[in-house]
Amino acid sequence: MDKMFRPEALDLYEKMLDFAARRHKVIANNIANINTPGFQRSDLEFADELTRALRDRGVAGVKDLRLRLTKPNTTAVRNDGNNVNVDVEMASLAENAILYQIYAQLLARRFNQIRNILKEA
Amino acid sequence: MAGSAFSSFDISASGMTAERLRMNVIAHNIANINTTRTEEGGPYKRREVIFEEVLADAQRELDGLIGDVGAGVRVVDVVRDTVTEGAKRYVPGHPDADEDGMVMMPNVDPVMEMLDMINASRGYEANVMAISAAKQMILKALDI
Repeated sequence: MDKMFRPEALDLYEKMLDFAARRHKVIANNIANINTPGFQRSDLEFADELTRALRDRGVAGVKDLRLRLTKPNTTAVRNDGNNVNVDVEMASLAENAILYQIYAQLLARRFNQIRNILKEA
Repeated sequence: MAGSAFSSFDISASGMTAERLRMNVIAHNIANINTTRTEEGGPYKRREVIFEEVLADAQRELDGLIGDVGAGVRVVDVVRDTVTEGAKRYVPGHPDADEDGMVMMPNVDPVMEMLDMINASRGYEANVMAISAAKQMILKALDI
């Protein structure tokens, strides 16, 4: 019974939602600066960090996980020194929005489970 | 508002504002493609907008995030292009013609302006896409 209400799982989903919302901001900023000369795109890769923290320290490790903003130089630099690629950003945007919706769905289901148990009790 | 769920709207809106202003400047350039008189004298000189990245304030450390977090873009200046040479046209009857009958035309290149226009319009659309993705996410969060 204790496990069902274990708030740790909720913490994890909440954290994932938060990360996805932050990543959206980073991508939105890249898109806003698509025509700014010299601008270097940044990204927030949280999937790997999250997996590592979970594996090493469990949900507790996720709680105080601090994300680092990276400046990946994997895209071609244009003549004006800007390396924002609209296709890459659009793909990240779509991917991130879907991930966010998945996390929201997972969280909603967990709440539903708890609600069902309360109803049956 | 730095930590708010809606602050990504501000980021995308700054991009839309900047691209729209750029579009206005392009329209101004095209409108003046044949202007031979200006207040400062001589033919019209094409305008160019200067974009600059805006960084978020110190709030980011509290947010549990390390690194320079961007907060959008802004137009810092609209400058005259005085480097590009305009064409000369032989119109002896023109009041602005010199003694050889040549009139200095503006340095506006229609092809370049059209390219900039497509660029600005695509940039604007990309920002709109970012806003609709954010809207989807927030609406989904309401379902929890």
